[in-house]
Amino acid sequence: MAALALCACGSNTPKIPPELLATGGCNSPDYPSGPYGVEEGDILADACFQGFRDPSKVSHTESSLQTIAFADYYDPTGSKGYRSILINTAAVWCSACRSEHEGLPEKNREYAAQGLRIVSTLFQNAKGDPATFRDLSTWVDTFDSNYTMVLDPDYQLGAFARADTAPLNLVVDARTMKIEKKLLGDQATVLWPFIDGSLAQP
Amino acid sequence: MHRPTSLTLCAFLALFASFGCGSTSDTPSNPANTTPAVCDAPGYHVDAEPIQLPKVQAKVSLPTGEVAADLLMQVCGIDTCLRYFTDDKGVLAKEPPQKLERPSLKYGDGFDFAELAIPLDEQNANVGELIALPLPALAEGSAFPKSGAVTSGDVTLHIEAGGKVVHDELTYSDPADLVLRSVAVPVADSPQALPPELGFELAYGLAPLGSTFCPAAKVSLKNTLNWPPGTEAEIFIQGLDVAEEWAPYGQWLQVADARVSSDGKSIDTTSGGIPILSSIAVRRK
Repeated sequence: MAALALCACGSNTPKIPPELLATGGCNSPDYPSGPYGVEEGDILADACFQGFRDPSKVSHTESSLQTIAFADYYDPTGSKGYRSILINTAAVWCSACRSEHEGLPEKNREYAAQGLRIVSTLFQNAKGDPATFRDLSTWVDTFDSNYTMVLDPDYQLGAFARADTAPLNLVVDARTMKIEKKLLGDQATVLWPFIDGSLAQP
Repeated sequence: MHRPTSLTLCAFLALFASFGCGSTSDTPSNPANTTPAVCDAPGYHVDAEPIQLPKVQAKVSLPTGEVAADLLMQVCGIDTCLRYFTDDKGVLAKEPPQKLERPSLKYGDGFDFAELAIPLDEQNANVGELIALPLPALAEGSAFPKSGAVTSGDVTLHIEAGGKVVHDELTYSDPADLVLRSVAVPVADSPQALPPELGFELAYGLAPLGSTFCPAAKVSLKNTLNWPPGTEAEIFIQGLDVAEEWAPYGQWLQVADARVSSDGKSIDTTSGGIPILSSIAVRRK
């Protein structure tokens, strides 16, 4: 059931204009085939979003939004220089998420050269309603985000964690798109040593 | 982000914070000729082992005695937040699905209701009966001036000329939300959030939460308890933010000293002030 939900990239994202879907990374033919799942060892299904690939390099206006897919970070040969992907969920109401994001720009500066890409999905605002562009824009302004930050108003990552629980952190192998680690909460003392180990592997 | 790990250091920083941000209202304000106040957040983070809470239980009513249904109740550790709501009987009964680091139950959303925090642990997860405190309507709120006094109900904040007010526009994304609102907290009926051993006699829930003041805002409160003129008091804020930049999460931190005015009408800050808008409490020295 969860895999089915995740497979439906595009079909359950009605807020993304079709023309953007056509030019974005969704439905990439090169993405690993399923079966997909939501637990460690499973292959992460593709999903696509609207957001800023690097908010530190663009104006935070709607015209700067890009379609961004997990498939964009799939790097089976290492040609893109991606080794691991940290996929994170965030909500404005979640003060633990906000606290976590205060430290993410520094982590991104430290780990990007080692092949880590951070992709964070903002799914709800302060009142628990679906996050809007305004929330995303204020979020990246507030935290000086320098990593990929996208909107997930439909909470496509809902198969991994309930919307009442945040944040969620997934470490994904960019070569296979297999979920290596799944953590509920900002468990920095577990997450970052794990990423260290993952990046150190040949 | 400052993350001192020593409790001793935290205690020192708390003392430092209680003196405000390097500028006092005793000195005539002249922004053109003075060094701007520096207001680095002290930071109060301490690590702790996550704990598995049993079922978190509460029964919430309104001050009128009616059931507080569908009220936001966050069980939030400094690592993870769980967002729940009371049911149609005003009851919360949720077992956290995972361990949490230094969890508190935060009730009230900071929009329609005052927000207060109750630290939780394995033995104290059933907090009993709570009273949710509706904030005044936004139309009754007071806009923040660039400097000077802003009042809501019994609470007046004094923003120093040349000072800086930064609102949490991520949470309060509608500018209409950025008005001062206050509601008195019934201290005797709120022992979970206002532990009796701390000796508080007055408390207020405020909004918009998270607004920061540099230098710290002076406070005047109506002397609703008719304390005698000259009575010395202490003003505390509660840490509602897990980032713990200005106060320890879930705890009360003294940030100002105060004294009842000579005419007995108000309780006015004499040193220190409020660096961040949060719930506040007052006790006599």
